[in-house]
Amino acid sequence: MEALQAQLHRAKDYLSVEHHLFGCALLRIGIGSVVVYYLAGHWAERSFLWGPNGLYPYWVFARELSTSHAPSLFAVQSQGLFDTLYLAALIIAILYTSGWHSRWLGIPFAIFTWSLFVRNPFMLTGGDNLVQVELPLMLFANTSAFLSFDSGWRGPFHPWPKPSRPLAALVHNAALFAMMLQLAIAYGGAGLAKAAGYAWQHGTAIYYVLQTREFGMSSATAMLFRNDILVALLTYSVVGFELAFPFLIWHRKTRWIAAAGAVAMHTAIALFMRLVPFAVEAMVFEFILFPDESYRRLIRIGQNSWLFKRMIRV
Amino acid sequence: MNRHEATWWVTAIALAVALAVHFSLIVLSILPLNPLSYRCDRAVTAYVDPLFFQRWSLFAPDPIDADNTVFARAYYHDGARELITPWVDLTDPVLERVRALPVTPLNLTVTVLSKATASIFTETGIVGANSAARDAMLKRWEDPAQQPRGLVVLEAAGAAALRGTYPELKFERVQIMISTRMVAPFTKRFDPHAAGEPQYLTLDAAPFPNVIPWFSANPPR
Repeated sequence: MEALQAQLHRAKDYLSVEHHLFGCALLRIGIGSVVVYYLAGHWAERSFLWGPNGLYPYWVFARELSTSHAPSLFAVQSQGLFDTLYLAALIIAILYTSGWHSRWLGIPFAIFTWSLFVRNPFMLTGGDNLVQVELPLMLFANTSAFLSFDSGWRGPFHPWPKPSRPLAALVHNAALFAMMLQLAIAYGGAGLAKAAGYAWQHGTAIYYVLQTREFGMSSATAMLFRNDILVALLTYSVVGFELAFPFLIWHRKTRWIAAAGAVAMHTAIALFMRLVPFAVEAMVFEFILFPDESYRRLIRIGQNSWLFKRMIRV
Repeated sequence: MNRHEATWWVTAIALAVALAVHFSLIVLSILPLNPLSYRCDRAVTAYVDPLFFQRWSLFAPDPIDADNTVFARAYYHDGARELITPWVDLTDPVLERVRALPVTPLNLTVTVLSKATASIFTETGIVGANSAARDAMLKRWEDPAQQPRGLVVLEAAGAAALRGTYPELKFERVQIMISTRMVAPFTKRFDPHAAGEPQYLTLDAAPFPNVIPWFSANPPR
């Protein structure tokens, strides 16, 4: 009984302090930057992509609403109102990314981001879907403790001046756990779906994807992927990694493998398949896997490196 | 145990239960149909759809293994004569620009064209339909209100491209054609003729939609 009480006490002490705050701040900046890229980067063609008389016209959106059940703030008939909402979404996304009142701005940011993603459902990628389902969970996490207006642009080595709030910390930690579990489900689900496919089982799926014009590479690099050993190794690596990911992220000794594998896989997707926003969206979620101390250690290693010292000297 | 501590523990238990229920429903929603998800289908759908709707079948179970190309042409009148523009390729010019600059805004257009085309095949069953059913389907789609959403999108993209290519013409109808060419099977990957000939699906012309021009002029084919 006493042992159980001691364990509960330890659990309470652990959960009454907010964890992985630096990673959550990097996630806020990463997701916010992607949304700013979507909005600002497509400013000139906003009406064509999301507007009332664009690719997915308002009347189709209204017709499909009974089956999609996904309303959008951008589904308006007036071009002027659409432009106003688009501008408002961009301003909110910039403020959220910079960490200005991000706890409360997170709500309109999530609503506008959701609205953007569902306004044209043919635009939704796997990365957008991940952001879409993680954003409601992110609202409960403290994402502005570092690198934000709210924190006075506090770096990873500056002490946190605010007193400990056990209940708020509990909610933050629950949100963090939920975001990590959702990430595990996404990778595990992707791995299971692939494991059921003929081409993935037979080690040739990568060949087919990279031979299409939409996702293929230059003909010279494509020749490399015609190598049967390389194709089989890469195909099985993707399935193996996705299936292993949900088990690797929970222990401090294995989460590095999960993050390194994810970064390698998504960098390859960005470079070879040109799915840059998708790759960035998937990669920024790896930030939340690590405690603040890991980032401090990484920065110290970086600062002591030959390259950093050389840069300072220059 | 003081009041603050009691509140903390009650919140912790409530959060644990909420997370357990939330993720049970999420997992049931993404698993293949099984006795449990079949039994809980209504509750799962009501909770997950639309806020937590998720599909992780990325390039799975079967990866994409065909190249689709979308073409559009428009009908217009010159006096009493009805004229037709040449087919305008919507896919290749955009893909070429994306290949040159992967973060170009046109990247989203590629995704939309690709998914809209795939949705015509997967959501309507036109490919597997017999000729009578196919003709009935095409006749029905002459009315934009009856069209599948994928076709609406392709006609909008086609109309935008045609307007950009022929800004001086006033179009009345737009027509879409999709060509599909299978990637060479892995076992015949070194055979230059293994990819085979493209298959064409030509849809009936529909009223020209009111869409803003976007694509810059493509050389007519």
